[in-house]
Amino acid sequence: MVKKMSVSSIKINIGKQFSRFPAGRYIADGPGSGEQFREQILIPALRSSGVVEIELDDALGYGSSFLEEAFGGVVRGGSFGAKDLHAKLCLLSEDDSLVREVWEYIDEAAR
Amino acid sequence: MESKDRKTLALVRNRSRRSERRKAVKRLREARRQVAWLLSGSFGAPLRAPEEIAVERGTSHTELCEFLAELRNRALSAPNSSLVVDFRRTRRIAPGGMLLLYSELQRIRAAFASLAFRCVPSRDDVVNQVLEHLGVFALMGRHGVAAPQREDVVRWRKLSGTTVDSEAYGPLIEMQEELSTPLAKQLFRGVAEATTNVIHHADSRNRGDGIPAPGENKWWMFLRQEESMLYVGVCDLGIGIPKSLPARYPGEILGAILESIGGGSNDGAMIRGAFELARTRTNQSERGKGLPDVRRVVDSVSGSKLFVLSNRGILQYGSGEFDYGNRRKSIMGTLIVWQLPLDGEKDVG
Repeated sequence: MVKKMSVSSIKINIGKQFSRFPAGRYIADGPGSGEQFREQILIPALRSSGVVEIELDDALGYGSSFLEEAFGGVVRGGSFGAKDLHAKLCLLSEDDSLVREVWEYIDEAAR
Repeated sequence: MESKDRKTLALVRNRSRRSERRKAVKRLREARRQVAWLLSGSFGAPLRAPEEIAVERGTSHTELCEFLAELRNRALSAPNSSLVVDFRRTRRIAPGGMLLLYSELQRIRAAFASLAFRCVPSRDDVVNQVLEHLGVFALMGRHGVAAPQREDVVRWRKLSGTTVDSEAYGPLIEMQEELSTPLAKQLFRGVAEATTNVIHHADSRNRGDGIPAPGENKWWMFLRQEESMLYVGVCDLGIGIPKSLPARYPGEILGAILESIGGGSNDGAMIRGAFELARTRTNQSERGKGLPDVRRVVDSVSGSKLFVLSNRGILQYGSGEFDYGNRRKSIMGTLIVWQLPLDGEKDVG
């Protein structure tokens, strides 16, 4: 589901490789949830690669619950710290407020 | 054409018209007979549906809530008998009220398989078209009462789910050609959070209406375009925000928030408090961040409004202002309606 760019870099396009309609917090909420994305795609990518680029713009939209669980949940679950994510994660979107929002969830989860 | 042929043709046409007329009269008599039979008392006294199936105004809200309460009571008291709903005086159906009625009928239908619904159609053809199109007549054992033809009737979409199920409503939102991509994204966000909230917090098992509880929380959704206005509604029949909020937040935090918005703890204030809690993020929990998403789409479209009804409370949001209060009766659940003028979009990029 992920496209390898080089040995240490992976690019993930959420809308094309995960779901055009990502929504919900937990796997029990239904397909396309934040937890599903985190556990099946994001964390494996973070573990296998030095840099993970996330393309956000090809999904129709993101609810807060999805974003918080997908990204904040990485820190809360103890897989990676906020500092690690700032070093490894590169968020790509034409909507700057969306990128800021994701970083807020990551930083809040670390508090 | 010979004069004799013309006479023959006219004769055939007249016979055909007379035959059609006779069939129409027969159909009308049959329909009248059926109505008389349904109203004869053989199935108990018919339950009269309100004149307006709507929730915006206080009087229509009260009438609809009383009607729904009576519907539940009758289903509960005689679950193996027939229940006749009389729509004859219903003249107007609004999306929010209809979503509530539709959800309640589906819940009762699912809980009481032996209950035989019957209905008497409205005298208004548009009302009948809506009831036919949404499957309300079919649910009540009537088919083909009206032929849905009007553009604003046939474009009325409905969905329901027991998971967030964004694969169902996402494409529906995308199909609305009049919505720009940024606005469709914001609406999707609002609906995604509304349905997520239902799955997490509706707690339908503790609704307290006596109706056998469903195993899962369920949401119902309508999407209707009426001229240049888009109505989108999400409804659940759970415990409501005023009951779920105290269970989710410590008393001192909730108390401080209610105090900050001017005090009061009625249902309307609790809905307003839920928005304030989400905005200030007073709670340190990762949850409870979804309500700003519900509101955000309204900030993107001039002249748009958001209505949130929960139990007896009602909140209206538009142009950055909240207005909230209490109604006389409870809807016993939560109903969110976005009203978006399709020509009022601001720059939401």
